[in-house]
Amino acid sequence: MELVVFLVLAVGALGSAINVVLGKSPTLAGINLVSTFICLAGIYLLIGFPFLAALQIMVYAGAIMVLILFVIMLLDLRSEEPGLYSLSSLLGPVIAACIAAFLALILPGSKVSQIALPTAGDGSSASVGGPGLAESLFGTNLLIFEVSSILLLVGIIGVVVLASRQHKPHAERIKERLLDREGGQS
Amino acid sequence: MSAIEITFMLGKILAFFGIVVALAALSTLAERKVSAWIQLRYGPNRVGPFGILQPLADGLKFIFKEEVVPDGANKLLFRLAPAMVATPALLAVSVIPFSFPVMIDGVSHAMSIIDVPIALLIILALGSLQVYGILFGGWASNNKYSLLGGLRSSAQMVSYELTLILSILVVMMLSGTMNLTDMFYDQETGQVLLWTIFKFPVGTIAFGLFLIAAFAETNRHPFDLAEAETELVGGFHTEYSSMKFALFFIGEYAAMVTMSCLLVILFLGGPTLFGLLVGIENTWVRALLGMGVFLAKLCSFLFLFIWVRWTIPRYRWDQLMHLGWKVLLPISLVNIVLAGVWVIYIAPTWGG
Repeated sequence: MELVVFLVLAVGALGSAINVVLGKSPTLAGINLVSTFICLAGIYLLIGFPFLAALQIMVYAGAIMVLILFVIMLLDLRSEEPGLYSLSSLLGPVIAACIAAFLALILPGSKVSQIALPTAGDGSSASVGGPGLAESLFGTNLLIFEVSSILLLVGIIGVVVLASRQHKPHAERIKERLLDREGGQS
Repeated sequence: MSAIEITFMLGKILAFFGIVVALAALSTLAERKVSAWIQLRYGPNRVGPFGILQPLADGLKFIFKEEVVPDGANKLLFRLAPAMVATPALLAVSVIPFSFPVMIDGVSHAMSIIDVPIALLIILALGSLQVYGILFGGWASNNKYSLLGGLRSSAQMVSYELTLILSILVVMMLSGTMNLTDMFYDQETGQVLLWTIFKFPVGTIAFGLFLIAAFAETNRHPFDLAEAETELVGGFHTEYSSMKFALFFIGEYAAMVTMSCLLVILFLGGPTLFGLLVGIENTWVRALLGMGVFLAKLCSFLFLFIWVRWTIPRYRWDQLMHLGWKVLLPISLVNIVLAGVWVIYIAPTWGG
């Protein structure tokens, strides 16, 4: 029974992930990504991490993907024309495959793989959330937690710096507009 | 699992889903009746006594209407969208405890269909999935007004979800638990003042924030920008007809019922009534009385939702975003700090 559910979810996740990459319409790609996330949440649930599953749906499927779809729909992106695959579009998969192979080679022997993960199933542990998770986040792993939050902060500052334009003072803008209007009338 | 337990489980499923679907149907009638009452009209009064069978007649009408799928619409998503609104709203009912737990053969059984420690998270996760139905419905319709409605709704729900979650966090801090049934007991120890709403100022502010965010999350007036008739024809459901349109409606009203349930549990003590019920020995009698109290509180919130709709004018779009991000969010962040102060310094001296 468990195996059947897992297979359905895994095929769903993989299928929609492939659709994300191969689909022509950006909007449909976004929608497929949502279903990938939901299938992943189902797998987390299956291996005994309900808290993680709820967060996956709430944060990734519920908030981040809504924003991405919002932007895609707002920009009204057209479907991609077929036959646009160039060298640069091939480069992405190659790099991704290289990174995956690198990680697969290096991870089993490194210290990362020896970190004790919270085990699934036992009620009070980090898998369900609550006190166990809080202790792990704010006690034993406090430093990593704070460093990753600083990383997010840096990301936000970066976005603000990149997105902000040089704003002219208000008076100057009004002056420009008046000049434009006069120019149009004469 | 004994036969009694299985019967109890089936009974719970039937009763709770029945209650929510019936409440959703009846609130469509209440919506029209209350609006008529506020505007000095009669409202529907032809079908059955006082028009009480009107929802049934509406349902029959929806079933027999023609189904129109617009040209150029994405057929699959267009058909899927109404179900994607209604399903999460109805699913959220399964984790809501409607009354006190009952004892069967010496084992305590919660009065929710499934009793999990992360009930609140499940409700929030399902609530955030509901926006997809609206977004996809708007996009798949191939209509600019529908698309605008869907976009507005998604931006609005993401913005107000923050306030919603942060005000729930305050309640969690005050009661020290994420389990909804335990929250009743935390709020009932014989004193009126132990309902979260009376824990001034922290609980009261959280209640206000949650109420405002709940209106926005359910796309109700004064935040129903997603279907603003005067600007967007019908918003995301402009192109929908017959039963699909009705499903959007059921989803909206079911979400309203779920939000009201949360309001009752988190802030008004759920089925508790000033400590009157806690002393009753027979758990079944206590559970039934508690359910009556719960439904009474629930209906008063449903009335509030309708009352506000016909009283307060609609917000403008930029005002809505301003309110969400620049007013409510800072207040809720400050409120969390206040809640921390409350938990550490005030609660111990209060004996709560």
